[in-house]
Amino acid sequence: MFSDPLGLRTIACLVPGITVKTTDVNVLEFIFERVFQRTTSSGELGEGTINMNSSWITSRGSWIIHLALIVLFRFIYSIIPWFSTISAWTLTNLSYCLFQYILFHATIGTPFEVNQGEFNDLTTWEQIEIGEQFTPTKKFFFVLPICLFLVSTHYCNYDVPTFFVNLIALLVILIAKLPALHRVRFFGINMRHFD
Amino acid sequence: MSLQIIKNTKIVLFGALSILLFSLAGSRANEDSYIKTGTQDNFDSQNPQNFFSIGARFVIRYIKSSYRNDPFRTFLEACLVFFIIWYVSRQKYRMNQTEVELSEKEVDELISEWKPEPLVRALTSVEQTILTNTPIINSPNTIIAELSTGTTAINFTSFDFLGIMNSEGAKAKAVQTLRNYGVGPCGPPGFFGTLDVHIELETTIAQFLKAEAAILYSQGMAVCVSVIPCFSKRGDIIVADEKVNFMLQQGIKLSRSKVYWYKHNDMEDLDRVLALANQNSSKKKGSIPRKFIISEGLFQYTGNIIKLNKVMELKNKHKFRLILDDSLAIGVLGSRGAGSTDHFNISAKSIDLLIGSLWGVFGGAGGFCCASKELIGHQRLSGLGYVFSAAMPAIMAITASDSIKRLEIDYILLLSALRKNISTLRNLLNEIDGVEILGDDFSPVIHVELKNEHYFKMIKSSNTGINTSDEISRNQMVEILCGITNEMQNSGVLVVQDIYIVDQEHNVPKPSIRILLSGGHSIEHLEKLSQELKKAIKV
Repeated sequence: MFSDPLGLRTIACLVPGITVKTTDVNVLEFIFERVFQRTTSSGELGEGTINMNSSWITSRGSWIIHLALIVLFRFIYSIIPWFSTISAWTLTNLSYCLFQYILFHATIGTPFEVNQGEFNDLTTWEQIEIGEQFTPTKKFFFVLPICLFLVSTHYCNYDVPTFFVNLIALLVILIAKLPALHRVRFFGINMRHFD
Repeated sequence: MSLQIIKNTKIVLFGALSILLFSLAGSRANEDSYIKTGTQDNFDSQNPQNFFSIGARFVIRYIKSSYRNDPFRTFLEACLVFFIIWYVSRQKYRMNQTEVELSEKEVDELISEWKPEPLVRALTSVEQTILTNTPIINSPNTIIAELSTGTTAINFTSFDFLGIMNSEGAKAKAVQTLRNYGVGPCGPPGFFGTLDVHIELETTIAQFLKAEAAILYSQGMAVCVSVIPCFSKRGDIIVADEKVNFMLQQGIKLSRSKVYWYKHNDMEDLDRVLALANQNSSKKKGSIPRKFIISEGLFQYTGNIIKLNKVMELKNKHKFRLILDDSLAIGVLGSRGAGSTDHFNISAKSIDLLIGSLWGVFGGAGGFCCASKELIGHQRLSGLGYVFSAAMPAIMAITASDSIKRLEIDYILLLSALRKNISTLRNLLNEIDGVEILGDDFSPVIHVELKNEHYFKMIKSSNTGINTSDEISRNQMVEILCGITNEMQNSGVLVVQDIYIVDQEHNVPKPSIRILLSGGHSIEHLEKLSQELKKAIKV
């Protein structure tokens, strides 16, 4: 657990007219301990060991699969006759977001025995490149859904309801990718061990 | 780590603030754009051949066609683009990195301050005392041992509880085996190391203990250290007795499981700890952890015997598995010498992992683990001590196998001799004042502790009352016991005190003299021991 994850105590101190008592801060910390939790697994590997569960994701071939998958989604939805352009693009975007969510953020642990279960509590995204941030692979998978969102909403003629549906789906997978939320769990989602 | 998080959250907060400011500015710009409509797009006519201008025109057309009088949405999209730029422009870094940047001056300072520690540190006075008083045996480890000082002494330090280790028949068989098989097996068991004698020995052990299957380990120390991490992993639960031996402690440490300790041989505390462990694990989501009770059959540190019937009851009640280290108990306890399971009339099959030794009673080397066929098969692939260690020499396997077969035939004679000796010696030792005799009535491992009052008496008599404090340190106790064992050695009785690596042990027992009794000792030997002990501790 870490205290004051959003710097709330600092902000509260800066706002004039608010005097922060220690008890208030404790209450805040209590709430945040319930909302934010950290996994115990750290996922540190020595040199030479490979986490087979995530090593394939960084290869260029798997980048291309993502692009191909988007094209495939778009094609499948477009050949269904009673689907309009708007619904086809929206479904493409949503399908891809769902695909990324399942692949990266809903799958926990590895089927292999790596470093005595060092990765058992980590999502696949956290396992990629042993938690190194802003690597080319991570940048690619971060930028790709944003671009797809911009393109799909553009071709949807910015239909308001679908725009927000797409935006929410996008934000969910973007927030999960932020480096600040590495190993952080909201409301105990994806949390396995407490101690 | 937490600094990094705060840094990042500040960036996100900054981003959110800028989003707010931009959106305010955007709504103003929106009002202006209504006025300026129709006057802003005359880019197309300039330089149509230029590649960049075509690109720029495309972008501008995209922006214009996507603007559609919706500044808020445009602003959101701009934020997303800003987000892309921010993410892509960042340098990569490792999450778990804790490196500190030092200036050259600081580096120089640290280097000049650093004094290398000696590779081998100087011994403390206690360690020096222990080292100088360590007896050296020049003969085989028999009942009567020749010491390096040239004298002979009655040996009470051998784990040869039945006295069959040095029999002439075993020696002749060993020489013959050596001629047939050579010395080493030349490889790990899974890799050319397995001989026919190993497989025969595994069958013999399984039949003797009435277990389903057995696996051989070539190192006695490696069995516990290998078996426990093989099954209990990170996130699993271990409930262990607080006075288990050093090998089990190391195995528990290496497994990286969550450990709960219960009071030594205290079944009420075990019940409490098991309930606590279950309660804590039920809070966890995800896969159910494996849960183990770890204990010893005959405790090396205290000489007590596990209350196995009660442990089995609690294990079934709380749904745990049992790893039982019967290294000292096999060959000693039970009606036919098959260990603590035999002692309590419990089938060895009902114990999930039963660990035993061949280095003690059976006069071989290494150890074994008895379990169901599936658990044995798992160990053959992932028991580190089995996979990565050379197999047992054939000579050891045959000696151990012969000893087991001899025990199967001669158990009445061998065990009754041992038990007679145990009860005789216990009666003799109980008459001595100032000492506490630990251990069960069936245990050939007898720890003799001096009572605290007696320590004070001895200090007073030797130092003529210099020590006035009420407490006595561990080092003082060790030194006094060293003096006692040394005196006994000189008068022909070889006993030693149990030596521990104090800072590595979970729960260090009080210093004590350890007497290991054999069926081969005669009554005269035992009487001499008690006499010499009485003489040595006399104030």
